Amino acid sequence: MSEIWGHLTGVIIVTMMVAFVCIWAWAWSGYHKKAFSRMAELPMEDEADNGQDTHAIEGGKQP
Amino acid sequence: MPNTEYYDDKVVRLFLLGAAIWGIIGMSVGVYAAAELMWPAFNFDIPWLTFSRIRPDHTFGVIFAFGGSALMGTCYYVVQRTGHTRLALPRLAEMTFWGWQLICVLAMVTMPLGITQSKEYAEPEWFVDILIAVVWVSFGVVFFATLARRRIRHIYVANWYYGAFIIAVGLLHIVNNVALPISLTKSYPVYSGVVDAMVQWWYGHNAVAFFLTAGFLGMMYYFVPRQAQQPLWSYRFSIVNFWALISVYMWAGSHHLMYTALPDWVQSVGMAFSLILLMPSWGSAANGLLTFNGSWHKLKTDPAAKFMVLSLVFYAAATFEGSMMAIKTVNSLSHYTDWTIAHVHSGSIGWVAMITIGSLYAMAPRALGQPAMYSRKAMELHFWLHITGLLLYVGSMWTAGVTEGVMWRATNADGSLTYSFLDSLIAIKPMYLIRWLGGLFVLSGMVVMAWNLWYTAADARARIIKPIPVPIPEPEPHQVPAPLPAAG
Repeated sequence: MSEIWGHLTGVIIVTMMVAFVCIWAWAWSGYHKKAFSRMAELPMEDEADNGQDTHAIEGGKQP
Repeated sequence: MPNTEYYDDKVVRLFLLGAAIWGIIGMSVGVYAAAELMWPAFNFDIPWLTFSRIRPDHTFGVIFAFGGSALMGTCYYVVQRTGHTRLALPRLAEMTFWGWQLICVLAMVTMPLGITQSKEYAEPEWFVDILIAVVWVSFGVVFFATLARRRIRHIYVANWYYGAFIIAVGLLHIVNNVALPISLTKSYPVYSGVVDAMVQWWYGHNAVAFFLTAGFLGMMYYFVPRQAQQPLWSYRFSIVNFWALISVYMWAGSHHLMYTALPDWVQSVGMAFSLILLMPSWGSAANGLLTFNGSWHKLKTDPAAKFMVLSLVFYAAATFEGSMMAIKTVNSLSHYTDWTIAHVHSGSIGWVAMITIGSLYAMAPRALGQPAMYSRKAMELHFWLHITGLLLYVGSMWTAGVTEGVMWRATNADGSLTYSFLDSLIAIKPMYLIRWLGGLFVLSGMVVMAWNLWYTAADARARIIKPIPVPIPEPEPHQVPAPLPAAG
């Protein structure tokens, strides 16, 4: 039983380590780069469209 | 595509009001409890006013009532903005507000009356626990239904943290509160002995992990780049930190039970995971701080940015301290002393309260239909009151904690204790006065914030706020990420 337990913990540790490396690889893959740069800009939109929205509503111009 | 959708900020404004009020209530109770430790006569021999009865009111008031209202409000704000969509199920969302307020009132009234499960941070009895579960699941339904309606394919990282916060807190709350009611006001947990202790601290530590960390990191990952007006320093690093944080935090709870009846190897697991935890914690702190690169000049003019930067510094400091305190030898000095109180408050007044206040100052004008907060000078005053209070508080409690730790372990040549418990209590008494004063400063700052919010909310009170339209852009060919079709 203890031998099986030892193998099991070993397998779990290796799986977790591989999963961790895979997350790094996934996050760093060139495929996501464009989407991630766009995402990183997202919070700044809120401030930027403040004036724009007010102006659009006051001028009666709904986009 | 006609733009007919507007952001639903009504529930956000309600939670903003809730956070401002509960902040003052929760911290007032804290200041009163601190006064009782300094001047015990302040309990006036009234049972419900004793320290032991009002202490849970302070912790519940600041964590769940103040922090919870701020988290739910910002969560509803952020999920709409980062998904370019209106809040799904607005009525259910409003129900979560009123439900949460009812829970907070019920908990804060029943606990001083002695109706308690005696589980730290999970004191409310079974009938309040069921209400919490119902409201929490509804909160999750609104959040995930809104995510499902988003028009931006990739889910912004702040929502990952908010999502983890909602799922994990629901799980922790339900598992830790499985109890057998024997009457309306009394129940017994199904766990017993050391298992009960372990379940409680698995809950207790993960309340810190997923309520006070993951939730507020969600706030941080949205409002810090927004306030700095800089893109997140490293978006991909934030994803790695997310998975590392949520997978490691779950296993660190046993560090609350060092040198107890808990099996030694479980204590060691808690210590090892607590040390690993430093990496994702510092990863997020660094990511937030480096986002300010190029915007450091904002610290001169923008009090909200000041709150955010210092909150990240205190996040890094408190997580470093936490990892150190989880080392068994350090824990043998710090456990049961006021060092723990110092650690908790450098995390809560330093990290949690400051990121919340910074985010509320950033969000409030927008949600209340104003270009800026009513008074920038009041924000500045709040900042200095808060910082003074924080430094007085943690400085005094660190001193008191180390004094207690050193005095309690001191032995004479014959093995007897050098100091009695009373000796240590007399030694730290001046520190209790400074701690009370620090709390008073922090509380005054909260009153200043509430005053400022009240005047910023003039349009909201007059009900003349113009709703903000959801930007629904014309689809571009080969747009990355691909937009989802407009719904509702």
